[in-house]
Parts: sequence; structure tokens; C-alpha cells
Amino acid sequence: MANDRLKKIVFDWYIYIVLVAFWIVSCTVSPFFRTMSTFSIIFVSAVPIALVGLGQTFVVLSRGFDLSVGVVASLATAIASVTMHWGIGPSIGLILLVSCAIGVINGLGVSKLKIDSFIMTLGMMFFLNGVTLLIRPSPGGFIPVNFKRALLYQVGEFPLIPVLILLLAAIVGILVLQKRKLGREIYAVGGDPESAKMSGVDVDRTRIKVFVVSAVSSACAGLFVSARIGSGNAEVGAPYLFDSFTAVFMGGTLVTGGVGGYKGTIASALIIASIGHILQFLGITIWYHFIVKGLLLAGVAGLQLFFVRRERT
Amino acid sequence: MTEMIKIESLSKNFPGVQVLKRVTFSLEKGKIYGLVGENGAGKSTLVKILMGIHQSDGGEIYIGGEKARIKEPSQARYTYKMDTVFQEHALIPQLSVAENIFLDKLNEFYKKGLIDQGRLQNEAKRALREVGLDIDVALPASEFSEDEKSLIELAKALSRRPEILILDEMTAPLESSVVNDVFEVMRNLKKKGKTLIFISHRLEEVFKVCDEIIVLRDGNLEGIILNDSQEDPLSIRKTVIGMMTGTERGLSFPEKTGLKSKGEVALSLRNVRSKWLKNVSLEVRQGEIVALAGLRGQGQSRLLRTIAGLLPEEDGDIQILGESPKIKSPTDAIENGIFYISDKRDDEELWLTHDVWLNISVASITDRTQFGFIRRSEDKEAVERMVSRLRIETPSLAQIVRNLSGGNRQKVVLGKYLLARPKVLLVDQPTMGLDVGAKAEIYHLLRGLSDEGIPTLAVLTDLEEVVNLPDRLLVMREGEIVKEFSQEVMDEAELLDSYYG
Repeated sequence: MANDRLKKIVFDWYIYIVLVAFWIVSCTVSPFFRTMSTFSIIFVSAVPIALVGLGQTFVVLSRGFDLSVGVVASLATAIASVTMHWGIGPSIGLILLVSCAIGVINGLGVSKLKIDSFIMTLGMMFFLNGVTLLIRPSPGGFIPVNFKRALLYQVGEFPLIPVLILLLAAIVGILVLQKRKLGREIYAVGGDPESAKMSGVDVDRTRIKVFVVSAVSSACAGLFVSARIGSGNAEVGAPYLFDSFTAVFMGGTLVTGGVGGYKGTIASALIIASIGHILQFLGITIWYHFIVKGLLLAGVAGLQLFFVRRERT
Repeated sequence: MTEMIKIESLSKNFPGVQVLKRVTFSLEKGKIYGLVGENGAGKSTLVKILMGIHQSDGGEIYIGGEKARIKEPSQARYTYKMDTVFQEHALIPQLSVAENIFLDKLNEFYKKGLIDQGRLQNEAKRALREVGLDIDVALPASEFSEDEKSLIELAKALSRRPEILILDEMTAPLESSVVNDVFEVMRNLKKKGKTLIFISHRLEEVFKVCDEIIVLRDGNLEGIILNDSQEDPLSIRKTVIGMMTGTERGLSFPEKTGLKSKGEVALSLRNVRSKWLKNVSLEVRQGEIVALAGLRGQGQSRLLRTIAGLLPEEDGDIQILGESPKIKSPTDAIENGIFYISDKRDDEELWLTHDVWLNISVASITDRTQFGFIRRSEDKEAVERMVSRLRIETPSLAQIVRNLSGGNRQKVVLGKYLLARPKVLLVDQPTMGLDVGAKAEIYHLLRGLSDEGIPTLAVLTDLEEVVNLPDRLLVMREGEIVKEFSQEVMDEAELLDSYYG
């Protein structure tokens, strides 16, 4: 009995155990890792991953894919870099509005036109990539210092605002998915769309909402990135597409939908950011980052599926 | 006597078929109506139109005297107070029972913007009490048995306080004791003046609980029979079956010829053990049909799956015509002539979106190849032979299997395995979901095969089948064979006794 409970705890918090173990090992092995500035960098770089991961978790749970998250983030940096001189507020408003529209279009295509989400968002990705390059052919533009300072605000070496953003994302993601009608309907749609429909869930509307959440949270990730790099860049969002999937799947959300949640995604975002930082710190070239991330995704997800399968037989 | 539903010359066409042909009838409050007909008679379509899942092509529906335009399920549920419990469960496996019951109105449970699980679960418990179920409603639906899931579905429908409740094949997967619970609930609703429509393939159930029986055949209303307890039940039964099939025949079983023939032992098991099986020993001789019976889930299906290499065997000996091959996987079993036919016909046996030709040919295709290429004319000939031998009703070999009736689908499955020349057939509930006519055809086909030397070991659940089809009958309980019956000595009471031990 106690054994079963322990098993369940390990299973539920598996990815957090991996994260903490990883941190402990790194801290033991390398004195350079044991510094506040290391963790500061990790938290800051985890923010955009956690944000694109938030939207992607919603989409994957509802049995879909969103390939446009990275390019929406890029688009947000591009729009910010050309409109922030009007004022920060209007620029952010415009970005949120545009991302909402993108989400609605993705959602309508997937639900009403019944286009497979993979294809719909692939098309959206190419389309927006072109639009972003039109707005910002080369990196640059204007991002106000106030905006940068506010989003990256630190107390001493502690990145207060980025950590608050992470907490906020975690609270919103977990509460909406677990404790709101929308969240439960997302699980229903992802678990069994036919049954959800029979039970009176508006499947189409749920799908649209999911893509809106995804586009808006990706745009927020883009805003944060624009503060970090201090400019707009049409290519900067691209890696976040891979990171969003890595975070979602490593966090235990299943490709088939209906199983998983944001709790795992956000821990995975921290793992991805930590690994990125270590590799960078060790001076390993960026190409190896992809190799490590690929192995990590397959390894962690494979191990977890192994546990799930054992549980079920 | 108040009229609750009136249906007036309701019609529905699907590409190529008219599934409902100007059906007209009306239903009163406080009565239970049986809706019967063979597969394809139009029962499900009628229900789906009432629930707003399909739209009719003509005719009118009046509910409570008012003309109803039902465009979607939520409208049927909330505007017209009509609900349906379907055979295929509409529960979401990952969500808790409580969330499932109130899925479309979770926002009514908000407290400070978040779902109040405490209240949700209390309400769910209360809803389940009405169907006599006491379970942990916080657990995901996937944790529960089929019986419990059906009752959860029923509770979910009842929680919306419907005036009209449709049970569409809801009892098909249920144990008889649970069926009686469902009947109790139905009778209570009837007392409260609700209108119920009960659809079941098991006619005994329909006769037991319904006041009137609506018979559909080929999309036509054949008639409405009063199920009067004064009348001779056998004659009512005969009338209903006659109207359903268009002839006067009831369920006919082939003669049991197996025990007389005394063929060679085709399949023999000695002390087969596994996680689910305890020392199972049995023999199936050529010319026989042997059935595994018992309560549901006593290891009957698992025994078949173990013989077929789908489940691991821990110990024991399996012989096929005197040889003991190593069977570790389905491939090994097939190579040794053991063919397992799953009860999940559409999911595990057929490629529904492909044609009859491919579906029949696929299991034995390597027999008709040369240098790795299929000899098309030979393949076609072989498939055509099966289609005519099994009398599969299909316009052509190119017909998509999804468009065939259940009986013909099952014949396609049989055809697929017969082409591969089986030594023994393991069949799991071969007539599940089939109508009376198709059932009889399958019985005769299985008997014909056993006469030709391909014996059958079948899992049967329907009591009528258990008594009438097999030559010998093995009753299983908790993974063990506890009793054997051979042909004429069968006494139904003794048989049921052996189920419970």
C-alpha cells in the first residue's frame, strides 16, 4: 500500500525528480553551476519556453499540434520592434489582438474546415514567416529600455519578474486545465472527441479557444524575447517550436491527447533551459544542443512510456 | 393518456439507401416502448434524428404537442427534455466520474471562478444513487467496469431530468443482474409518467419490460404490438420476430451432429496455466462445436487469446492434431492453423475503409504470390469462391466493408480465415451485435465448417446460443473449467447454477 503510494508520487512528480536530480548533480560536479547568476539565467531562458509550452500543452491535450508557435513569437518581436515607439501599451495591445486573430484562424481551419491541425498550422507557419520577414527583414528596431527593465527586473541577482511570470503561467495553466470548464472540456475533446460531442461539449468552440490560447501565449513569449534581445528578429522564435514540443512531451503529455498537463511542461521547460545553459557554459557549439535535446526527448519520453506500459499490464 | 411524441411520415436518406420511409407513430406518457428490428431497420437512425445528431429529410416530429426542430443534442436535451443512453459509452476515460456526469455544465459548479469539486462530487454521488451505484466519483471513468460505466451513463442522463429517455442497446454488454437493476429504474420512471424507448437485440428483455413494441423493418414501420401479459408470450414473440424478419421464422439452430461423428482430436490443452488461467485442460474434436460459457470475464476470452498466442502462457501443453508446436505469438498460432476471431470485429478483424477483396484476401495472400507478386486472377478467384460459399451479400468485391451489414462483415472475417485453411477456429462471441437472421446464418456456417473438419471453440454469452449451438459446453469460473455439459442433458437451471458455483 505504502509502496503503491510511493510509486504514484514518483510517477506524478517524475519530471520534477529528474529536474532536481539534474540540478543536484550539476551543482556537485561544477562549482560554477552553484551560483545565483546561473539560476538567474536558467529562469530567464525558461520563460519563453514555458510560455510557448503553455499554449502547446493546451493544443496537444485537445489532440492537435500547433506548428505556428515559434513564428508567432518571432512576429511578436517584429511588431514590437516597429510599433513600440508609439508607446508600450498600444504596441502590446496590437500584438495580443493580432495573435488572437491568428489563433481564431487556426482554430476555424481545424474545427470548421476540418483541416488537420498539423497541416493548418504548417501553412500558418509559412505564411507568418513571410509576413514577419516583410515587417522585419533584418534584426533590429526599437525596444524601449523601460520595457526591457520591467520584464527582466531583478532584485540583486534574483530575477523577480521572470520568476513571477513563470509562477503566473504555472498557476494559470494548471488552474484553467484542472479547475475550469474549458480545461475539463479540453481533456474531454482530446480524450474522445465523439463522446465529448455526445455529452454536449461544443467541440469546435473548444478547439478554437485552444488555438487562441496557444497564439496568445506564444505572442507573450515573443514579447519577453524582444525584451531580452532588445530588438525584433524574424528568426528568433524558430527554436521555440522544437522547445515547445520537447517541453510538452517530456512533461508527460501524450501525443494522442487527453492525458498530461501543464505541471510537467513547466518543469521540462526548466530542464531544457538548464541543459542549454550548461552546454553553452561548457562552450559546446549550438549544433550539439540539438543533438542533446533530441536524445533527451526520446530518452525521457521513452522511459516514461515504459513506466506507463508497465502500469497497464 | 397524453401524447408525448408524435412522429409523422419521417424519412431519411443516406447516399444510396433510404433508411427511414415515412414512419408515423405516437408515444404516450408513462409507458415503456420497445423499438425492435434487424440491423439496418432504421432504429439507430430514428434515435439519432430524435437526438438532433442527424437531420430528417422529410416529415415532422411533435414533442408535447409542439412541432420540434431538433438541430443538436443539447437542444434535444434541454429544450425537449429528451435523453439517450447509447451502447457505445460516451464517457471520457480520463475525466473523473463526477466530471463526466456533469461535463456540459461544469460552469454551474464554479465557486470563485473554479470548479467546486466537493459540490460536484456530492451531486454526482446523489445522481448515482438513483441507479443504485455507490462508487468513488473522483476516480477516472476508465477505472470502472463496463457494467458500472453503463450505469454511470444512465445516471448522467437521469441527472438532466428527461421527460423522454431512450436506451439504445444499453443493456447489450450488461450482466443479467445489472439488467434487472436497469429495468427497476425504467419502471420507476414509468411510474413518474416519463416516456421510455427501449432498444435491445435481446428480445426477452424487450418482452419483459415493454408495454408496447414498435417493429421496424427496412425503414418501414411494420406495426406496434401490444405486449399484453394476458396473451401467450410465445405467440407475441412469434409475431414480433415474424414482423422483424418478414417471415415467420424464429431463431433456428442447426442440428448438433458433433458428438456422433467422433473425429480426430484437433485441439488439446493439458494443464494450461497463466496469470488468468488455472490448469485448463480440454479437447476439441473434428466435427465438434465446443463452447466456453459462464459469467462474463471468467477467463473465457483470455483462454482463447492464450491459445492464439495473444496472451502469455506460463505452463502447460497445447497440441494441434497431435503435435505440440511452440506458440509464442499470433504468427506462430496462425502458422499452426489456429485462428482466433475477436469479438471486436470492426476494430480488430476488419479494415473497414477497404474493400471486400482486400479484407478476405489479406490473411492468406502469400499463398497466391509468385516471386513476391500477387497473382491477381488467382487471388480474385479465391476471394470470389469465398464470397459465394459464405453467401456474402455484396454488390461487388470492390464494396467497402463499412457499407456491409454486421452479418456480412462477420462472414467476411470467416472468409478471410477459411482461405488460410485453419485447423481449428477460436471464435469470441461470433454473433455479437448481429440480428436474428444473420445469427442463424453464422450458426449454420460454423456447423458446416465443423462437419468439414474445422472444429470451433467458441465463447458464447447468450443463453439461447449456449444451450442450442454447441455439442459440448465448458463452464468457466475464475479462470477454471468447473463443469462440462454435453448435448441433450442440458438443463438451464443446472447450467445457471454452475455459473455461480
